[in-house]
Amino acid sequence: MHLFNLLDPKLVWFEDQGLPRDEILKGLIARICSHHQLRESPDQIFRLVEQREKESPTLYPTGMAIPHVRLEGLDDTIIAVCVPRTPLRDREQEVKIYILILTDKNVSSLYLNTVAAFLRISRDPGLYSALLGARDPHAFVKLVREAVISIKEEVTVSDIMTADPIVINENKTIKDLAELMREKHLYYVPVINDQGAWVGDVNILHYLAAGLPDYMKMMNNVNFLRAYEPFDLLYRKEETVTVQQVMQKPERLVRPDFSIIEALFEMERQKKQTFSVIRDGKVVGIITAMDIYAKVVRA
Amino acid sequence: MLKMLLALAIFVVTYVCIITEWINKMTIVLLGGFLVILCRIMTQDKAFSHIDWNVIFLLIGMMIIMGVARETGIFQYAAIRTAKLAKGSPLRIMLLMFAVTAAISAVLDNVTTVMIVIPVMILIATELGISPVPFIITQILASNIGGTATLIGDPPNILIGSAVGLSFLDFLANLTPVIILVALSSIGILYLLFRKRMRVSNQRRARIMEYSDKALITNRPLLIKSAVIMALLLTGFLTQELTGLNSATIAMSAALFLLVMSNRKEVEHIITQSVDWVSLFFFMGLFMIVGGLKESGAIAKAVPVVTRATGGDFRLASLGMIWLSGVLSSVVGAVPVTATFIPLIKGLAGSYRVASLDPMWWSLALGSCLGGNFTSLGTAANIVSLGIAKRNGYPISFWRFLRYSFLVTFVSLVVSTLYVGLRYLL
Repeated sequence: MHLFNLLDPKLVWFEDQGLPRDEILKGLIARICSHHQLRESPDQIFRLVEQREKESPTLYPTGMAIPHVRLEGLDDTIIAVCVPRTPLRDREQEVKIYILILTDKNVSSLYLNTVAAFLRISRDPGLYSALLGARDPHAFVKLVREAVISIKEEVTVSDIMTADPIVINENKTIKDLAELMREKHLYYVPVINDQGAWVGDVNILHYLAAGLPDYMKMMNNVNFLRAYEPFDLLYRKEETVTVQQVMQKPERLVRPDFSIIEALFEMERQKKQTFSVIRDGKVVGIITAMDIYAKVVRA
Repeated sequence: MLKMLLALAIFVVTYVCIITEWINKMTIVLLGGFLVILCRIMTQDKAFSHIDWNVIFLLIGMMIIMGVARETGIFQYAAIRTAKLAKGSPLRIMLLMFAVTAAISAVLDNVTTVMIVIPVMILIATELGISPVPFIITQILASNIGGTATLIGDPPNILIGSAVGLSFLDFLANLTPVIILVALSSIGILYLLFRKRMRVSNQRRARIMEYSDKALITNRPLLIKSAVIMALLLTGFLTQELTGLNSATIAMSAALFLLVMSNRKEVEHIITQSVDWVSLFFFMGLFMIVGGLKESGAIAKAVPVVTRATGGDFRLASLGMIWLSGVLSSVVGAVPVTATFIPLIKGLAGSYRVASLDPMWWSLALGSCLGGNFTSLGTAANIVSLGIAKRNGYPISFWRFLRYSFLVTFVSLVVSTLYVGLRYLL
């Protein structure tokens, strides 16, 4: 699908009166409402947009603001664009373009991919400044059409993962690991070897479990041990046991080009919430079940 | 003739693979079983008819009962309770636990028994600040010795009992007394071997005494159900001669009643986790391979050879059987040895002028079960136990194990020889 197919020149607005942010949003909503039959009133839509913004702002460092709202039974994706002739300050940041997206409550991937497509535009300096400087709405849409901006049909893991995570070398001790995790507030660390290749994953349980003797893991229960000090063993071991000795490797890997459903499938199958994302033997990110929830299901 | 050579070739190659473990044991044995059919030594129907289903279902039944019983926490309770009864004295713990483990193994599977008691023994030794190695070795020996005492204690006994029609009571009357003697002599030897290394402080001893055993029984209702079923099971076995019921029927009924009474959700877990399908397939393959030997006439050919080798002397043959099966089972494993000797001994029926072959059967049972103690590789229980020891930082080498096991096993076989000789062959 091409992005320009979702754009309507009637919903592209070059604003030159220096209106504040709220007025711009209201103006965009009014334009949408005059061309589309919506169940919600403009005021209601504005409140929904604000509410969504409060949960997580959609300002991007390139000066693009992409507020959006999901409407019950809309069954469409409507995009309205406003380019203020003079960039304005919005929450400590300079905004050059507002893109308001209305989507259906049940469709999540198209929205995400539309956002991704606009973000791609903002990373292309030539195209981005040409659009901001377009003469009129028709020229704006024409530029988008000529740039052939396609919307990916499918969201992949690379779209929602946390890229370039903090990693640990397999030869470090588990004490180093625990300190790193506490310092950086990590709960999952990919492990790499000296060549930088990914070799496994560790979490804090791997560290703690080093204090549990192997024979104890075979017991039915240990409720008879009242005075046992398992962490004596941990203190003795933490400086000699290496990350490599405690790390785990999932049965099957998650790659950045995996679809969300593929990633979810692996999480469920392996009963594991967090995965390192691996491309060509190197770790490029971390994906968690919460990423899927927050960035796809409730996006 | 060609069939016989083929059957022998399959037999030899399989047994070499069992010893060397070049290929997974179960896979090679089951493959051997079907090769017997592929090579037209016998038809599939014939081959399947050699599988002793009484053995297979008896094993399944006992595995299910064990699987449910271990969920109750009773075995760990027994171990901790014993340690406290022994007042935390390591030597007393070691010797009392010998008796406890032997008793559990007499009724239940040896591998599962050691998987429960060995971790507890390592914990206790670590808490006492002494090496767990004597405890581990003692438990392995106890488990194999205890298993010899009853029909259901060890697979060789199950095989013999089923093939020959010997009842639970027969085993109790003939093997249990000698096993008590063997156990006593072994405890004596272990006492002499280990008594000097067992000094611990009062403070450490007190830690063991502080173990709270109150919460160890994790599922009391299930424990009561298991106890009732165990009582019914033993009654079933003891009255076998009156009722004429086969062991598999008794064990499977008990197991299934227990499953009916326990949590429905756990049934599948027990069937998949507690039933050792790998061993069961191993048995099936073995039955087919040995069946091939019999059908092809190889066993019949071997009978006169054996008779001649013993000079027709039944006494020599019976006592020799203890040592022959003892040594062989430490190399090949008790089950393959027993499975092979059963048709051979049956074939000997007419060769000696004796009323009953029974002494020979008791010799085979004693030799193959106790022989498993000779080396660290003798039985699955040995391998599993030493694996646990190694994972916990107490590797016990082949030679180190042999230093203790050889003496205990040698004396066990001497006691057995005297017993069989004096009781049956005077």
